[in-house]
Amino acid sequence: MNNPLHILQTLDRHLTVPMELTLFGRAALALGYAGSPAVFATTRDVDAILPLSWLEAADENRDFWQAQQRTNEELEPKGLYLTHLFREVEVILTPDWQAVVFVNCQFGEIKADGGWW
Amino acid sequence: MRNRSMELKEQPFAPTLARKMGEVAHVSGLLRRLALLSGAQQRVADWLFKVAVERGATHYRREFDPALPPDSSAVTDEEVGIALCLGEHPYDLDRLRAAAQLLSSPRVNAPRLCHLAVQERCEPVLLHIAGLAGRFAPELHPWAFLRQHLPPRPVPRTDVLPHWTRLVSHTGVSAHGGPPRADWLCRHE
Repeated sequence: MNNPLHILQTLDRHLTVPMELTLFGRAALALGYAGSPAVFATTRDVDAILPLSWLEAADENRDFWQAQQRTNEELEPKGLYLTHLFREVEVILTPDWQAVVFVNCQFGEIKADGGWW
Repeated sequence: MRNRSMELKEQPFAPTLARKMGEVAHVSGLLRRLALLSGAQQRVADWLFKVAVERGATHYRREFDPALPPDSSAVTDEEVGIALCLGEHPYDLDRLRAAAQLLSSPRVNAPRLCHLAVQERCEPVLLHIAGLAGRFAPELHPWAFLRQHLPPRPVPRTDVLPHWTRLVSHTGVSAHGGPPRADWLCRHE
């Protein structure tokens, strides 16, 4: 079982409009890098970075927050969740972090970054 | 007028609880949901405090703005307590003290509280409170459960969290005929 993939597929099912989500941490390593250690796929959550421009959206990204809530409710029995979301200014990132994209054939386009904090 | 102007200018620079502890705050979906559900929006922190007091954190009773929305039965005690301890709030220890009293109740679902604490990155605050509770009431629910089951997540500083003297009531010498005593502040059920 690839937990990050399962979490994101659940989120995807609850989203009604497309969105871009930038992952970091173990979930990003598990999904963005072929041959990454299997232990990364056992992580129970997905960490993500939220661009400031995204946070300022006029609709307050209600579709995403609602999808996040439904995802967490659905996955709670399995102990999986998506709650650790950080503003871009709270994470150490490379200057071109928004341009770095890795493609994961299991899910579609997954953007990952080598940042840490 | 001058004071109000100063407040507004200083507000954006108020340090968050997370910053005081030397870590970063996440963007909480729980807080956004409660802000929307309650109707409190930007005043959700004040609303949470008021709800905590109304639900039994009576030690922190004060006058609240009557314009704040009423309590909502759709929000659990665990959610109120955790939302008060979120790192993205401006630093205000009374919120944490009110959470401690609200959650000091046999009615709290301890496993659910643990789960929420991990999801919302409140482990350092809850384990700090749980540790203090252990000194005054070692068996007290849900803190005994948390000490056993909530995994610690170290942060650079915990000395900015509430001092034990503010989480207990001090009983005077004459009140019960014995020496002075400190009793943990449990929720007023």
